[in-house]
Amino acid sequence: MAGRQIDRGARAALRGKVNSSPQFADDENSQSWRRWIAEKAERFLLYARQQARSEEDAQDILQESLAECWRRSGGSVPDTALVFATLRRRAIDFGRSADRRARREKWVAAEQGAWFEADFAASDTHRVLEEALRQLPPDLRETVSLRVWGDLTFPEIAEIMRVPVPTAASRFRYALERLRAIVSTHLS
Amino acid sequence: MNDESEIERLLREMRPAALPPELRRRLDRPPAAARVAFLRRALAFGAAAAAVICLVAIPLHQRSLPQGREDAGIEATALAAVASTSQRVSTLRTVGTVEQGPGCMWRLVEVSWVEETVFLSAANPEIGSVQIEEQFKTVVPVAIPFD
Repeated sequence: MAGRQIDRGARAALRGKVNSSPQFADDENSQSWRRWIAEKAERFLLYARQQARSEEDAQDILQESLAECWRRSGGSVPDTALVFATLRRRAIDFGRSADRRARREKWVAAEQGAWFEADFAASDTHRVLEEALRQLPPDLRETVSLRVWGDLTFPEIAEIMRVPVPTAASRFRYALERLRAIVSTHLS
Repeated sequence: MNDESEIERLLREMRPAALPPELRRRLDRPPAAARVAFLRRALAFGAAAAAVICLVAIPLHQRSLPQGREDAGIEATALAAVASTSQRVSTLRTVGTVEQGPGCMWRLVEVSWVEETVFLSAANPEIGSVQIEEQFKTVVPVAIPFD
């Protein structure tokens, strides 16, 4: 899968710095981080936005999760599935935090940002799909996000969501059916 | 191609929205580097603050000694000299952060330290030595690029 090839490439690049000077290693470390952010952060943010109840929480969750995973992996590119699992755990923790409730409610009342880039060539279809995605039950939407934009396998999704692998696969199929029904209704 | 595959293809065509500029700035540097830099600056600042405070506090403390000894009923001449002084940082506590602008954050750190001074008695051997322990506390700003 494309995502895993990128991960392996980044790790291989990091392995090559064994004999580097500390300053050079530090530069390489920063470059690896920036490459990783450039490649994956938008997908992680999409998932964080879907898990959190406000844009502000989503950004905080993303920053803290990426920092935690980076430190845990010793300053190398972390496993993608681990990052999604960390985002999920932190989103749950944020949701439980009572002192954020007032801020969250204030934000929910405000307009939330778009989940996807505007594509004017296919704007109608994509807009309807984004709206349909928002209408899906959380479990189904999460499965679609992890599969499509997280590029994860069903066993990885099952582990993150703590469900059996067949459940993860059937949720994905069911979500696609629901999306197809909504889209065909709107576009017909 | 069935309908589900078509929907999946359409979904994969949708690109997640770009990071907001402010979040992109927050993610500009790897966290480990930022943390090491912060700790390095905090230690350097703490050491410098302790040194400056020692330079100011010791003379002030010595000037205030006669009053203190009268209160204690000990003659000023009884104490021969300051035998030793030492300072140690007891706690470092973050009390808040201040954002001065994009990418310019300050952490307010409360530094507490203890200064110990030992005086020797020349006139009264029973007293031997007197140890005075004073506690100081101040808040200092420490720059943090990212944490």
